Amino acid sequence: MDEYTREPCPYRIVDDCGGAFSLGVIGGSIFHFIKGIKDSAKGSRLKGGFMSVTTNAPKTGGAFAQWGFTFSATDCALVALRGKEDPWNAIISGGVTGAVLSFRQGYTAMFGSAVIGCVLLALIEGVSIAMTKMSAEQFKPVSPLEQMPEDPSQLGPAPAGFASFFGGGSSTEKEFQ
Amino acid sequence: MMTDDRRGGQLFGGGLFAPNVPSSPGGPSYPQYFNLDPSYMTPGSEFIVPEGAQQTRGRFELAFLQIGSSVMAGCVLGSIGGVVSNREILRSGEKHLKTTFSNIVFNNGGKWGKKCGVVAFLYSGVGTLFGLARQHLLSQDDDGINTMTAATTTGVLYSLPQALKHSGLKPVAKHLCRGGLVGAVAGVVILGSEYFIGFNTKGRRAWYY
Repeated sequence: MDEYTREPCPYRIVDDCGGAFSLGVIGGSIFHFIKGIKDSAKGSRLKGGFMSVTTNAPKTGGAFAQWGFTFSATDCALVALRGKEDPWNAIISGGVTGAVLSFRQGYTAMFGSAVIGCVLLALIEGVSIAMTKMSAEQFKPVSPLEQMPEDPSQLGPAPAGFASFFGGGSSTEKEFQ
Repeated sequence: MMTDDRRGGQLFGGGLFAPNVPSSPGGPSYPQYFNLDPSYMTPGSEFIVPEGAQQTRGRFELAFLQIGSSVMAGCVLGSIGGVVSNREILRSGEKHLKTTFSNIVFNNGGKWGKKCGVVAFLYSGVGTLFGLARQHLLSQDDDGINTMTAATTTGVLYSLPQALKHSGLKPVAKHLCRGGLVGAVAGVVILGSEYFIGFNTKGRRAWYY
């Protein structure tokens, strides 16, 4: 399953890093603006919110960018190693990313983060596979034999018992006469 | 006649036969015995793109690439700068050398990565929004005006938190003007690099085409 909607692999790392940074900055801006407004004194709520955004939103963005970079780099390394792109790549790279990012906290934290990363990415991949399957249903080719003829006159005279049920055919006409 | 033409081998000369190539006045001139439909050679679209898609990438498609490369470049340069500026500490034979080294790298790399990323984020965001507004309201194309506006606005916005720490209109305006000036100079540098080096910052051929 090749990816055509994203950048090819070495550049995907940069792209994902930037996307994650933007996501973190935008989300962090919203979150820290509200938090700053809530925490500031009454006279300077707007300024407090703005200051909170300028100090904290880049931190959130940086954390997201770290995650995106590590994830994408591992993903691309796995693509190069295994020679295929499938959900297992994403799941493994989620685990590796969790482990790498909590490297300084010791082995227990690494293991915990790795498990969380694996489960999270497995959920995401599962949902995306389910969405693809659901949206692929409408493109399923239908055999011409199964299709209804579009012109009803092609059907010919209906069988007697069946047609009376739908209010058509010769038997119904006889009844009304 | 066609076979004769092909065997003749005279690419540009020979007025023996009338040109078999439909030519329009003012259009590009082709060799007389050109055995190819010149409509294939019209400059412009070389690639088949889906209907409704643009021939070149816009600012938004390139924004993530720009932001990501800025973050990564800032990280690398910041880490190197941190190591260089703290080289005395690292040389002093400290006990926890590994921890010190990784702390220096992570702190400085993170700091500069964030700074560069925020600048690129502001530049890309302002450029995209301004370009969209110009396209939809004035139906003008993306060009150097967008780059200059985005760069100047980025400078002003980046210096806004520093300016708001001062009180009074004059210091604030001074800070904002300084930031805008730095941004405008950066915009000129971007445009100049596009013009002179052909450095492609927007994913399109160049702003002057």
